[in-house]
Amino acid sequence: NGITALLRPGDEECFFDESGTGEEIHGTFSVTHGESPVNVKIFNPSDLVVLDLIDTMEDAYTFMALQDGYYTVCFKSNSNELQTIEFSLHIGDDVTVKNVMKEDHLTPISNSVNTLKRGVNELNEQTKYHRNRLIRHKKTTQSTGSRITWWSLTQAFVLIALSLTQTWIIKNLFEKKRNV
Amino acid sequence: MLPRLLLVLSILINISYSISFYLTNRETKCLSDYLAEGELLIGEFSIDPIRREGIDDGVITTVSDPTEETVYDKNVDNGKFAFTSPENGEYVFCFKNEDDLEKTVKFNTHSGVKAKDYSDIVKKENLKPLEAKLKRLEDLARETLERYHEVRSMEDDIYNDNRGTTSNAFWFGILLTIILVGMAFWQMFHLKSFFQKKKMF
Repeated sequence: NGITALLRPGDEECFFDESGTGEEIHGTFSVTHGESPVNVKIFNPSDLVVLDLIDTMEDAYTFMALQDGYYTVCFKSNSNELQTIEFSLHIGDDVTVKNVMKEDHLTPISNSVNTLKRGVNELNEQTKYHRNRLIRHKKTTQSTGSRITWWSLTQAFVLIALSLTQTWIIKNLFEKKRNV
Repeated sequence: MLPRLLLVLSILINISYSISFYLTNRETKCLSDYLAEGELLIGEFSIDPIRREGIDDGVITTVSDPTEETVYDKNVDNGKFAFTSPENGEYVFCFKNEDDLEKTVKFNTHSGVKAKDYSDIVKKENLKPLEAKLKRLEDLARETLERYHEVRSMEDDIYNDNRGTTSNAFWFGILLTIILVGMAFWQMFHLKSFFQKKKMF
């Protein structure tokens, strides 16, 4: 979970998944490449807009499905450059068994475990997202540091070379004049 | 026997999460996921409508790893794959529709602990569903803590890099100023003695 999609300029990319009535739908998204905010729309199985987020760079949403069917989330680009969006879409309990009876679904401890599981899942995803971003930050920082060093040394070299050249040229001018 | 079978089934059918999207005629769509070195990645996809033999060209599914090598390239309607990431970087999943008709792609992918298959452990240690859930939770929490430690140490590295860069920028500024002033003075004195030698003063 936490997958990245490419959003071309002016394009709209939509993703959908099936939900049952009463299931909790939870999603996140974040523009990971590109400076321009996006418009996000979520449609219910009757094609009505459930959520409409305009000009946003990152957000999260949670709502209850009131119908059975496919819920769609669409990302629309407002920019004229390529962007990438990292997003996740959870419907109900991820680790669910469909059509197989769960033995201990009704005990209090199993409810607590489910709540715990949701919390840990979320924490796990957020940490993964954070770590991935930091890996990229680290690369940028390191390259900035080395660029400053390289550029400063080049400047120093250019200054010295320029100064020596100037002096030599001026000396030359006066040498020639003398001879003439 | 049957309850056992149901139990095993219940742990195996644990990837009920997926996303779906449309591929219009001849369209290619790509998705990516960032993985750290050594992390396990599993994925599953299915194409609808099923390819008609001799008529449709199908959808080509390709997966490329962080070293940009193609590790999966098949033209099938249902597929699964599993990889261990060779280095930090992105896995890119591409779906190319070779036909004129619109296809629906259903796709899911999991990494790390979520990719781990618990059916073996369940069988070996004879775990009830709740115990299996807790075991998974335990692994997930441990993985989260490890990742968090990585985050902290990376933030330390970034902080140190930034401090180093800032102080470098400062000292280089001073160095360049000294060079500038030094060269200016050297120039003046050198030319002055040059002209004096030439008896122009």
